[in-house]
Amino acid sequence: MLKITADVFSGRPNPTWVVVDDDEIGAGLSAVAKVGAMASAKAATEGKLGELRGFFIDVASDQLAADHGLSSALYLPFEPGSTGPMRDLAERLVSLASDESIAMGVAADGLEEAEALSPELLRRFVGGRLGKDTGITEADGNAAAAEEAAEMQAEAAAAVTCLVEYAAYNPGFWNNDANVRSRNNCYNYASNKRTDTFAQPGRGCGRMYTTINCSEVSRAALCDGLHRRYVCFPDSEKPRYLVALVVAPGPGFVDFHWYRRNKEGFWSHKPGGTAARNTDNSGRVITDPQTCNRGPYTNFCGYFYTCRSQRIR
Amino acid sequence: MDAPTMQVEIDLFSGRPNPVWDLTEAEVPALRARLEALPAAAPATLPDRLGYRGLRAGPLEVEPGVEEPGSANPIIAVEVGGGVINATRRDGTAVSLMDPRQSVECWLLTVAQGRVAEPIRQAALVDLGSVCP
Repeated sequence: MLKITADVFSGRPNPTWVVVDDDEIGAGLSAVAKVGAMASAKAATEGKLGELRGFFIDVASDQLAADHGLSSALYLPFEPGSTGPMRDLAERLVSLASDESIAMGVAADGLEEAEALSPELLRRFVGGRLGKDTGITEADGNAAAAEEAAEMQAEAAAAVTCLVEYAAYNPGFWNNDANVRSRNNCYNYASNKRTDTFAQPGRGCGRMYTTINCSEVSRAALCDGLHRRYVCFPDSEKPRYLVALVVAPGPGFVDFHWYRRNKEGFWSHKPGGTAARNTDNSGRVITDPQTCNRGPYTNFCGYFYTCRSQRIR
Repeated sequence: MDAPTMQVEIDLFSGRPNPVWDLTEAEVPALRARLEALPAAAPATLPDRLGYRGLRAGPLEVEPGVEEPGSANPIIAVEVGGGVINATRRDGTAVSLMDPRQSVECWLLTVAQGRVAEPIRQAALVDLGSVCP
């Protein structure tokens, strides 16, 4: 287990996330070891309010830390506007923040869920404080305003923390049988519901989309019973999967496509009647459906939750 | 008895069903002739990305005992895309064919004119770039 804390706040608890995936931990610790010369055991004492000062890194296993030549608790200072390896490492650490890892961080710190930032806000907030590639920090000269903005973001996140489930990545269920593969599409896969009907948003509720754009396909999916992200489902609706909708706007090529977040921290999808996979059009594992290579599906419509009572046909 | 036909599918969508059309009686042997003229290739997989991936034709329903003109073991199903062709013969044998100029893919997209929505056909042709004349 690897616990990462962004040293950024003064009054409220710092955002913390806990990584449990062995591969992610190994890659993260290797990256930390490369810039290990900069690490220290003490936190930075200087820095403006609301500015990213560094990261606390806690490794659960002494053996794991020793394997990478690190102590089990260290502090990585971050200079505003840093570039090169330090900036790359900071970006890598922030990219490890997921719904699951943040929820574990909240539990590890004994906080209420409402005190957690969503991964999106955390990445935007902490990532924004990494500064631009040019070495220029984000333009914000008013420390009080920065603190206030951070508090507002935290409050916004606190109001919309929902519990969701992440299923283990299991492409064999969809790929091994040619009939299952060809008769179930991205909407089936994202919903994790096999219908063998090449399911269409809105057909389950009797009001299928009438044209293909973000608003109409979203309307149809909501009609089937999905919720927009941060509109929570009760536990009785488990499993509640986090999914993302994208649209190919044309001209010519007009279609919709869905992704689903997995337990392992990546996203997976099933392009039409082809095999389910966790890679994008560039062959890279999908860590963010908003930024992955989606080919002609250039419009990102947003995130949704599926639910047990979803009508899908 | 009517001669058997083949249904062709342009494989490009993820959410929507792919567009399909039927080859005419005359087009089925024309497709077979093009396929039979190609050299064998090592087995390969078609593109499986988001976006245009290729075309699938068949399967052709051939009545048992009915001899097909020109071949006792004709191709009854084929998938083409990205220069890869994988076909299935009547007896179930799988064959891979070499078509680096993607001539079969281009021919099928030409035949599709007027039978599938033109913007969709054009989207596939745009994806192929300058491959098709």
